[in-house]
Amino acid sequence: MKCDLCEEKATVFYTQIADGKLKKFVLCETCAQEKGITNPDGLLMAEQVLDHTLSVPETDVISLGSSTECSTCGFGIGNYQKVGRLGCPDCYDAFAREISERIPTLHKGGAHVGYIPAGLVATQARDARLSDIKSRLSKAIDAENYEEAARLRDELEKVSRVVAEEPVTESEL
Amino acid sequence: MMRFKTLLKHPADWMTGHTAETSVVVTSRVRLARNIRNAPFPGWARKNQRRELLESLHGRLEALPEMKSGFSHELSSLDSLQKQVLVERHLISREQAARNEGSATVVNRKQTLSLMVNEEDHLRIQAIRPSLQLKEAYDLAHKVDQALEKELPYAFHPKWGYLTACPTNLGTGMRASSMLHLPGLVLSDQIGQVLKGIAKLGLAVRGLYGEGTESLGNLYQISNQSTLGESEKDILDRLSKVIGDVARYESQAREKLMTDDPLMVQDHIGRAAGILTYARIIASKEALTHLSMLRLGADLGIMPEELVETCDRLFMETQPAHLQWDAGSKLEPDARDIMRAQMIRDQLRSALPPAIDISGNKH
Repeated sequence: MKCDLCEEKATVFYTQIADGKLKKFVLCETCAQEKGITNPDGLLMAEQVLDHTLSVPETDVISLGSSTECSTCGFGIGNYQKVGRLGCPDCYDAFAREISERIPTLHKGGAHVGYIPAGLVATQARDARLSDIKSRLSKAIDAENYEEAARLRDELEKVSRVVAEEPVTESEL
Repeated sequence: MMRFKTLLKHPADWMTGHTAETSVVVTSRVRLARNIRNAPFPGWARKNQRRELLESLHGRLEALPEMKSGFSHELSSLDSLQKQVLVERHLISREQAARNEGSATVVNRKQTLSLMVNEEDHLRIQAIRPSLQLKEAYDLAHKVDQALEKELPYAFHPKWGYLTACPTNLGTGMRASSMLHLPGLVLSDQIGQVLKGIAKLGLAVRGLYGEGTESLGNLYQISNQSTLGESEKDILDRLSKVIGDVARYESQAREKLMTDDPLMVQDHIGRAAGILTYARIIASKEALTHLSMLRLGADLGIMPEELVETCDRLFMETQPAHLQWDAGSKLEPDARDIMRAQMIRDQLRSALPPAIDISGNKH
């Protein structure tokens, strides 16, 4: 895959959800550095952006995706209902509502707590989830909803355990 | 790179080396489903898109140190018999065998690792180990995954983890399974109860060749169903525990049968030995049923121990595609049944020599 700004090989993958819009771009090492995406300050900036977005409850972000067709690959929601498979990774954003409705019938939980591939996006994603859980936790405590708070505390513990690793290492397993 | 012929000549690493541990849990498998960002999933991609994806992956997969002097083939360059052989060896899925354009498989020399390109997902990394070694199998697959993630832009979602063509694989993208030989639970009529119990725990039980296949030769696959909301470690721990429990039930059932009704067990094993050493025509299903009893006999010490490995080998080599590959030509079912009986007699001869030659040949 080529860098979006030049012809070099892309090694940095950036995903941003802001104002209900998902933006993705890929950059080569040089362009990423020029744009400040790989330096620590850049990461902080990204976090600020993500913090801002995630003050909106998670379900709102998810409910954005309820198109009838994926704009990336042209796969239709009717196809999914028929064959149970999707057209491309972006379909998960396009049909987020339908998919989140189906997930409880398929899986034990609604969010990934396993291994995360090494890299920028992964770290961002994990940090965003942590700060999201933290903010929901403090809201739950404010509202004296201790049942929810206990659940969130467990989730926080689970998520941060995975982030602390060089994810789940072989010796640990 | 290894040729198809060479691959077939050698038994897979996990098929040999029988120990007490493999008497119930025969093999453990882990497969990871991975996809590439910005590329349509294989089932929706056009032929040229599948080809492009294959071209971008194939060289990298072949260059992995684990795959050195392994086997690598595009599915379109294999005939239907060869593909069926790979399915019987669990090296590709039935789904992949049906797909051609832009689909490929890379298998390491020991046949413990296989990488499938453009199956249901862009990439599936599979590892197989003998006995109950799910964590070891995971480590093997995970190592390859970690090497590849440095170079490949995996499709990964902050909330849903690894994105897969089918949402049933979301999250870890990991399906772990063990193959168990459970003749004791079948003979003592406890199998139904045990299978129900496993299903209640949210795990799946299937027959010899995965989804939708019936149980043959008392072989059952137990696997995780949920892939989202639990870490790999938690899934593997839970699954290993259940499989260990089932293996213990099986051992207890065998012991109890030998105490309560040894004659019944001996009868099953004796009949199986009789049929297998003298049959001239035998269908696949019947062969598997009797091979299962013979294997049980060897595990219980009633039959020579070396028969465990012979049975495991025959489980695979008497499958239709393996038989035809061995014969070097396409065979009708009737001809296969004759060849199968012959192969079984040949392989059992050293451990269970027949007392009489019934072919009518004068000595």
